[in-house]
Amino acid sequence: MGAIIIGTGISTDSKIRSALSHASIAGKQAIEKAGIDPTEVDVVINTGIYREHNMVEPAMAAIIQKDLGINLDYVKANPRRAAFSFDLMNGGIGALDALNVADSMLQSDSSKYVLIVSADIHPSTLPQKDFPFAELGSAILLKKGNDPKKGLIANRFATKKHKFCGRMGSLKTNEMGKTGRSRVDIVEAPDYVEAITQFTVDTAKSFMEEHKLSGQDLHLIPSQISASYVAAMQDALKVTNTLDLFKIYKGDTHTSTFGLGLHSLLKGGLAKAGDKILLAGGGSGLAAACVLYVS
Amino acid sequence: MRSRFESLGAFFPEKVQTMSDRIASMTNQPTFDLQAITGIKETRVAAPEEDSLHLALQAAKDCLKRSSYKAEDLDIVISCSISRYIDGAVNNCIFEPPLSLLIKNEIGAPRAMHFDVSNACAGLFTGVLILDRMIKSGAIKRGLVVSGEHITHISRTAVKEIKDSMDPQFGSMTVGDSGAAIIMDQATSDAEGIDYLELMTCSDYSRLCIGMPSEENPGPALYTINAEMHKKDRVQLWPNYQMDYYKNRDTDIAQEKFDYIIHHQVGLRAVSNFNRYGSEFFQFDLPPPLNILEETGNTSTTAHFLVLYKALQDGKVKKGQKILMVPAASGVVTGFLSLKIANLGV
Repeated sequence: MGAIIIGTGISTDSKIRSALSHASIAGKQAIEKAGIDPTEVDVVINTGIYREHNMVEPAMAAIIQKDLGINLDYVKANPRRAAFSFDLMNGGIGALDALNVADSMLQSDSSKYVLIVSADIHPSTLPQKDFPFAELGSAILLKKGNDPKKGLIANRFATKKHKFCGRMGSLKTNEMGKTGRSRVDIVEAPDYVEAITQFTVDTAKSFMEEHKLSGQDLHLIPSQISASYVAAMQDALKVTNTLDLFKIYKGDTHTSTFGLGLHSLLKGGLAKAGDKILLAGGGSGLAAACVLYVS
Repeated sequence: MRSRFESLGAFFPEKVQTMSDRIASMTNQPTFDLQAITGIKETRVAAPEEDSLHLALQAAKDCLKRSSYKAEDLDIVISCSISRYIDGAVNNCIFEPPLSLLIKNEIGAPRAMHFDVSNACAGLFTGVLILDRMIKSGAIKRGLVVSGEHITHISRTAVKEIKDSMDPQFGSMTVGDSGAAIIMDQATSDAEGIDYLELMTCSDYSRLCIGMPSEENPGPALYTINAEMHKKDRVQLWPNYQMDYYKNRDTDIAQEKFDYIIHHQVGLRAVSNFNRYGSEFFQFDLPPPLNILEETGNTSTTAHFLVLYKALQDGKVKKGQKILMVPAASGVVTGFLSLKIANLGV
């Protein structure tokens, strides 16, 4: 543990109808904030799930890497720097897994800078009333930290079985006909919000107890599954400083939740040096995760 | 600290389709001998109910069978396939939750972390790299990387849609179905495991190969500009990278004394070119490549690991030997993995 965030970025213009573009715009901002050259980034991890045309190959991260101008051609570059990219997928909480992976890459000294990006968009690229996610992007840029009491401090991941895994997003290929590039089928168990709320609360409470965290001393970035989910997390964990991105962005910010939240706290100056930030996520699975970050 | 392959598992569907049958089913017959060019005689084809999840589970169970660990010991499960079909013949392509969740639930690894990685044909290499770094950083002690690839759907789209000899769907004609799984943990000595694993993405070429649903027929499709993907310049990205890696480490390709090399299983002629271009660049005759593509086709993410599996099974690769594995995937992703074989049996 100990990786630190040196830049964040967001992309929220609703006129942009591409997950790849949202992720790239956010990534560029994060890199500029960190004051490094894009060619210095070693790893790009994309945690976005829903993307234009339901493309599955290559990794969307590779296209985003190109848009950012990172390791276009190793041999032609001077100096040469072998950047690498891949997609990491775990529903709305993938960014929390990506923080864990990024930390390992940095702590093992195999990478100096790791960029995590995300964005979701309906595969048709057209606004769809029944698409439950806010269509925007975010980015987090990390480097290795030297202070064991700062940066990424601890994490926990948990799962629990549930009908439809709570929420399932898929493409029913036997029904899609020729419309496979422009449709997605999302089903939810009738009690999904209630179940994931309780599971995330239980996981977060246990995590807070283990790490002796008090709600009064925390900033909370919860998943933004619904307005009631955010409110329930705030009440149950007793955290006054809880980010309500659902209200700001008018929907579930899904894979971009934690990038948006960190951007708001760190760039927006809401979190000061030494402040504790609890990222508490819940999503399809059921899956819940907590990450403690000290600013 | 080093990581190692503690156990290796594989699954090959029973049904076989010959390349000649596949070619015969094409709406527009090719003007060239695809079988002769690729060297692929046949591939395995998963039954409709053998979805990506099924293939992954079979490989994972095979891997666990000879592991010293039980599923409940695993700290993490990473699924690395491009195809993520569940529900058998329904062919539901799942976006969330990740396939790794369904795998870990089925094998009985409730406390394991999980996520999927997607990185074209380099998916399983990517999962191995992630586990290697997580083991080295102390984040985990042991984990499972797995891939179940039910990808012959793209060949069924290709036979309907290929129009002429320049059609970008020709690559789809070479694929076969399979599963592969590896349990990794900390190596017990320098005589086994991963000496080094480095991967890179040269992103200027990221749109040379695109996989997405077809708009002409119901089904997934893969569109590849093969001539560009396998150009000499592209292939030589890898040896350039590997030679640079050696520059500060007081070694070179000759001193590494690899016994075998495993390339991506795209076709016999292509593999021969990969080795030739690599040998030219290093100015050193690379060891002979191991292949199984004649009987399996290009199995995408599982390819290199199935070659290793078969070679261990046949006794071709033995304890004490050293293997160089070189991925080549859309992105384009390339790199190199140096693996010492000790007690890895199948």
